[in-house]
Amino acid sequence: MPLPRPFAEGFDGCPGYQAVKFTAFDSHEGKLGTWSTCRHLASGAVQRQRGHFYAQCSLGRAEDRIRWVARVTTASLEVVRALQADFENISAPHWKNLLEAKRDVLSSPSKPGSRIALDHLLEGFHASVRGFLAERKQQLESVGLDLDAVMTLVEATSHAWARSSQVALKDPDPATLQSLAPEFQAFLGPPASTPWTRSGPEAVPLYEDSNLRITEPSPAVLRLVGVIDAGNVEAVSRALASVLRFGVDYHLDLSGLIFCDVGGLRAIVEATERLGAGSKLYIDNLPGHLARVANLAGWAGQPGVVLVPLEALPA
Amino acid sequence: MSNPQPVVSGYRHEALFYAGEAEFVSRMSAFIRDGARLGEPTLVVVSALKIERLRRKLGRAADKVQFADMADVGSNPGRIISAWREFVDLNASGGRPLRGVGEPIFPERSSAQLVECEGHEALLNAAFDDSVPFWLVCPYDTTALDPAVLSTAERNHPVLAKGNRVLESLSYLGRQAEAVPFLGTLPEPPVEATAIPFGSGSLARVRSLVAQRAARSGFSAGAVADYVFSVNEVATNTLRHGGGGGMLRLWTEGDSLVSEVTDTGRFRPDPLVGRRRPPADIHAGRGLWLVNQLCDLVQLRTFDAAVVVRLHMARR
Repeated sequence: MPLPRPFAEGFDGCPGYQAVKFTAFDSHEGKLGTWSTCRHLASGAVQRQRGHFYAQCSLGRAEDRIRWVARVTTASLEVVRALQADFENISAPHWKNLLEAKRDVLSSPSKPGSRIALDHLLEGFHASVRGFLAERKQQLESVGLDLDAVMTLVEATSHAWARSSQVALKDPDPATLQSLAPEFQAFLGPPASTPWTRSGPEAVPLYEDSNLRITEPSPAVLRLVGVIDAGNVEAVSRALASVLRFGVDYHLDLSGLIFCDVGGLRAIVEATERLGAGSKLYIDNLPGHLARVANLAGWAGQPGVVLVPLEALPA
Repeated sequence: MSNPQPVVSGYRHEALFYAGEAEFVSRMSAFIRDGARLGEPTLVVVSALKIERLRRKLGRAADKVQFADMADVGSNPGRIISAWREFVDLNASGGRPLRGVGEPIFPERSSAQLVECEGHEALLNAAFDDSVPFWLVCPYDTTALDPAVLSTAERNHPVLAKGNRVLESLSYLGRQAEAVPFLGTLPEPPVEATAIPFGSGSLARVRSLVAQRAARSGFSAGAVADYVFSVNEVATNTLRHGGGGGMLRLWTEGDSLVSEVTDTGRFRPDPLVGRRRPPADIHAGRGLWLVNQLCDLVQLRTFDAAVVVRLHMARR
């Protein structure tokens, strides 16, 4: 289902939304306006109609988007959103002056003073960014963003912009980005660069509600994608009970769970009782925070349950 | 005599009033040394600094004693009882007497923490019975604590040690004290608190609001996840037992976020709810226990037609 665009302030229709400000300029370098778009929004070419494009999410269909969010985690995504919003707030006053200075450089390229003024402003901008990053070090590191790497990227990107022949802002410098760690690219790199697996061909769900899908991509492998909370935990519990067969070892792929509450974990652990002694329930790709909670709750040592934590990014 | 006769047998929950660090070290090291001589397993949960002082004073005798930093075990006082429970369960075999020293109350506690620490002291009376000879001493520094705190300590402990005297506390509330931690009122939230009503269809909204606020307050990703999980759990309890809906209020207190979930249910909790590690074979009842492990402070209050739960989480 197409989402309304441009995205409104505070848009919350997609769990993977990552707002990016897009400023358009006309051919005379005049500012046309600024819109909120999503980092994952790309365009696809309409087949057999040259010059016709449609909006497309680079992460894929709804289920793929949810799996991407589960992979990077909602908590990390929220932290990145907060950092980006604050980064924009501290950058905005600098960009106002930087754009002016860049126009001067472009209109009178032979005047050395305008180039010096631009470099001076850039230095001031970098100093502000450095202060901001130092203040938020703990938060940056919690989402795998290295302080020095972010600074390198900001400097490379703004220097490339200062040397370019246009006023329009540039995307993060691709060469610098590529040299950074893979977890970095999940949030700042090309959208689909996160190491995560797409769902593959649409499978007929064993269970489906508005927040969760359970599929069986291969025999005795159950994949849960979405959310388990008070709204669906009883239905999920019944669904698991009806699917699991006595005497069979199962793998539960939980890498697509965006959120699962205590009740959801309990439903999963209780499902092992359906399998009977001797059978095992392998819980594959248990997202980090759920593994922490399962350990705290003492479910890690439950007989018949084998927890296989999801490898930390990068995969 | 450094080892006065116990006034009660079995479980002895005693407040010991001392004046300053020197007296703390001499009284507590004597208590610990006596235990070591008698072969009584002993656990000491005090500040890292006091552990250091005691170790130095005790010398070799310290080798037989278990020490734990109160900052690790009991920065959230709701976690302390399960630590004592674990110690008692692991060591109480064949009627062997046990000793403990626990100092949850010290001047650096915030007012919200202090209130919950006093509730914890009251609940310690319900946490153990006389089936195990367990002598637990809670030291109170009379030179640093408010007189009101000391008189509350007298109400929460059946036995008092003051100077060289050991007496029965005349103001001890007895088992009535168990209800006290859930009855007090909490300070009003600030007017700028964000308030949203929620029902069975809006838990996702609750989670996203909490995640946003926590991220904007500078929380790391792990702390955001812990906090969202905890608030969701308390809101879920409200949906189950609190008449199907409730109110979430969210505000900042210094470096912390506070989330308050209120409903119109009637809830008379087991006094030790959320303070005992649930047994492995019982899958229900882990919610509040987990919340206590994940959050910095949990405040639960019950009224005639309302239940209020506040979860405090500092930026980290």
